[in-house]
Amino acid sequence: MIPFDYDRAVDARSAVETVASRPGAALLSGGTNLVDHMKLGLATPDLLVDVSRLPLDTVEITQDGRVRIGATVRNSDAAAHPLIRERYPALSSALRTARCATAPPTHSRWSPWPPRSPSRMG
Amino acid sequence: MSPVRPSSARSEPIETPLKLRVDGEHHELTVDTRTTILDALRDRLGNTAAKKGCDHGQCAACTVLLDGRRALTCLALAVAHDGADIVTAAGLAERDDLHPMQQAFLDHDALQCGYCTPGQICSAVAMLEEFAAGHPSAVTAGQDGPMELTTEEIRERLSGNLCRCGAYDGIVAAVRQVTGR
Repeated sequence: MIPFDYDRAVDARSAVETVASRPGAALLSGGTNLVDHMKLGLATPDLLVDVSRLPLDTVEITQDGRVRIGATVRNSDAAAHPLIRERYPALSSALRTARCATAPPTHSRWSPWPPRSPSRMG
Repeated sequence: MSPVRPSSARSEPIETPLKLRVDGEHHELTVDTRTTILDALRDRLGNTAAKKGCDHGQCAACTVLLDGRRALTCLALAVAHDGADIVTAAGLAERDDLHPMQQAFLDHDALQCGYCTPGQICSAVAMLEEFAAGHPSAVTAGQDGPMELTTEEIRERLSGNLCRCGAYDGIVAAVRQVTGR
């Protein structure tokens, strides 16, 4: 992994501007894929802009009645959220069976195949 | 073969100060930004409870409680978790009094080599809290009504933690003991 600078974003706009204007910059949130790819040398950012602490971790109903899932909401939290479970059960179910390796590992990368849920993954 | 570097990339390590609370103790250290929490714990703070298995987020031997939730420390950059409260398997015990999950693992021979055990125990402790908070799993039946922590639920909810010795039956039995079943 090459050395990189680290910058904790203060808001989404400045984070996007930084990453858009600086080649070699990358957004960091959970890091599941990015950090792994950096270890493998598949990604070589020289600046990480950390957006994980931005207040984007809510699931809420928008004015036009739809549901907005914040960019930093974890898959497991979205799957468990009452709004998602009630209004988008297929999404909740899909998230629970998602092959996500990282914490909290409430859904398995190593689930039996085929999945026990009705929806098979394509 | 070394990875291709952007022309602007530096080759010198970039260091940053950091505060971590680990098993109740406060630490201040300076780390290379590339340091994972796992390496900070093991190599810098001498806490070897969390184990390095695959180092790619696939085995979960490195699981700890990170700000109260189970997390894989091999993919978590320490710099991104400045100020975090970390509890490793070693920090679950109250001095000589084992955590009920630790005792249950002993009672049920829920290990052979023991390498995955600290991660299994942290994961199991957090899993019970997730279950109590109503988090569904891939095998949770239906969308409504109370959930029951069946053997199938326990297996699914701990399926991210691999045990190459195959101590799974004992692990499930240990978790069932803690839940009073």
